[in-house]
Amino acid sequence: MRRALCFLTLLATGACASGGPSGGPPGDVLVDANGRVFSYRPTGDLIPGSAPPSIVVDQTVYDPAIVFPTEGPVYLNSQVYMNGGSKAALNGKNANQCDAENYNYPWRDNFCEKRGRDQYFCAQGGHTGVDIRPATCAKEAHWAVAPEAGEIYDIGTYGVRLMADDGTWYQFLHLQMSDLSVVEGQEVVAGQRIGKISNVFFDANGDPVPTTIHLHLDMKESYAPTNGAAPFIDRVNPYMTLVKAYERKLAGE
Amino acid sequence: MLKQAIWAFAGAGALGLVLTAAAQPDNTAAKERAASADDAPVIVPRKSRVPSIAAAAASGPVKSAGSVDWDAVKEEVDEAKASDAEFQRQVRAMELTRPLSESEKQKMRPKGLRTAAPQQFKRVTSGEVRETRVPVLVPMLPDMMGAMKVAARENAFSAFGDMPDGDYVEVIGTRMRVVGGTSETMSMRRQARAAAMPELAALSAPYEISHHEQGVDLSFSRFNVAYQISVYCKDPDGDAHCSGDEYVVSLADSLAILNPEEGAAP
Repeated sequence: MRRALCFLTLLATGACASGGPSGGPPGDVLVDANGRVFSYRPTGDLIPGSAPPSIVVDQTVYDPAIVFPTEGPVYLNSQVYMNGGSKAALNGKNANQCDAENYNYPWRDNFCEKRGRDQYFCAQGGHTGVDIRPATCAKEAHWAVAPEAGEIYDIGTYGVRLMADDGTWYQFLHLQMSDLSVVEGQEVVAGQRIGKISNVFFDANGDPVPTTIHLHLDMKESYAPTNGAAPFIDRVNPYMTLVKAYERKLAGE
Repeated sequence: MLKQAIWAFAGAGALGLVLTAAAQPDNTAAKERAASADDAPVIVPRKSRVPSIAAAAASGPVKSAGSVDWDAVKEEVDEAKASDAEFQRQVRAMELTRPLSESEKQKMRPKGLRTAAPQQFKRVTSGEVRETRVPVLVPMLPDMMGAMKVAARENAFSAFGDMPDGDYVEVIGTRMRVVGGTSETMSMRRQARAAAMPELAALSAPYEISHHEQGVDLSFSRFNVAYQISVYCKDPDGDAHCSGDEYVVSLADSLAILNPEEGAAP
C-alpha cells in the first residue's frame, strides 16, 4: 500500500520521500535541497510529439566523474513542448514557463528534440544538447559551473565554450553574458562558477529575443566502438552522464 | 502491475544504445496525446546504489589517449608537396601559351594536406600551437587567415573564429577517445559508420555530416585523431553555409597543418 501511495504521489508531484523503491529501505532515495525526491524518465523517452521519427537511445555515461554543471536542484525537461514553450499546447500544457510542473521531477530527455534538421543520429531532430531549468523560475540567480577542468576558450554572444583537459567540449548557452565569472582563455577547475543561468538568445537577424530561463548544455565527445576503430567526434547525448553526476551530487559524493 | 513495472525498470541499470523508432509518431496531435508517455516508467534511483566514481569508471566505457600516426601525417604532407611541384611545372608549361589567373590556378591546384606557419594566421600564436601533441588542422580559406584563433591542451585543440559574414567556424581535434560500452552502443555506432560515407579529397578520410539547430558539423578521423569542423549560422536554414554541405566540405578540403614538426619531436 505504501508503495502504491508513493507511486501516486510521485506521479502527481515528482516527490516520494516517505519510502524507498521496492527492495530498498525506507528513505533510500535521493533528495534534493528542496526536499524533493529525484526521479527521471529513461533516456530517449521524449515528451510526446517532440521526437523525430527515429532517435538514438543512448544510455552511455561518457564520463562518470564530471561535476554536475549547475549549483542547486535543477529540472531537465523540454523548453519547447513543456509549459511556456512554443509547442506547449500539443500536450495540453500552458503558456506559463514558471508553471510548477516545469520545476519538478521526473527529468525528461530532450536531446534530438525536433527542430527540422538532420542530425547524424536522429534525422529530422536538431536539438544538440539538453535543456536544464534552474532551481527556480528566476533568471540570473543560479550558477552554471564547469563539469571538468579545462580552458574557457571562447565566449560568444550567448554562450561559453569549455575545452576539457581530457578532450571533451562543452557549450553553455543562455547565460547572463554581461556578468560572467570567467574570461576567454581562462583555466578553470571542475565546479568553478562560469555564469548565471538566464534567457539570453538572438534571432536569425541578430536581434535579442529572450528564450525561456534555462541552460542549454552541449557535450562533444570522441568515441570509438573498439580499440583500433577510428574515433569520431559527435555531439553526444549527455543525459545519462548528467543523471549519474546528479545522483552523485545528491548522494553527497 | 504498473508500479511493479516501474520499480523493475528502476532496477535495470544496464548501459546501452539502440536505434529505435520513437514511441510517438508525429502524424497527429490526437495520437500523440493518446500515447502520452506520462504512462511510461519513471526511475527513482536508490541512494544506497549510487556507485562511487571509481566503481562507475570501472564498469563503463574507457577513455584514453590514442597514439597519433605522425608517419601518416608526413606521408600526406610529402604527397601534397610532390603534387604541388608537379602542378607548378604544369602551370609554367601552360603559361608559355597564355598567363593563368590566380583563380584559375586555385581551381586547378590539387587537393592535399599542406603545411602553414602559425604566423600566417593573424591571431594564432606559435606558443599556443606548441601546447598540444595533436596535429593542429586549420582551414586556409581567405576569411580564416585574419579570424582564426587556436586554443590547445596536451590532448586536444580548438581553432575557432568569427567570420566577416557573421558565421562562427570551429575545428576541434583530440587524440582522446571513449572506447567500449555495451554491445548495443558499439553495434549502433558500427552500423552508422559502416554506411557508405563520402571521402574528403584532401585527406583521404571518410566523413559524416550532421545538420542541427545551430548549424552543421563535419566529423572525420585521420592520423588516429578525431576531428570535427563546425559552422554556426545565425539562420541555419537560410544560410547556405549551414543548410548545405558544400561550404563545410570546402573547409575540410582546405585544411593545413600548423605543427608538422611535432611528429619529429623526441
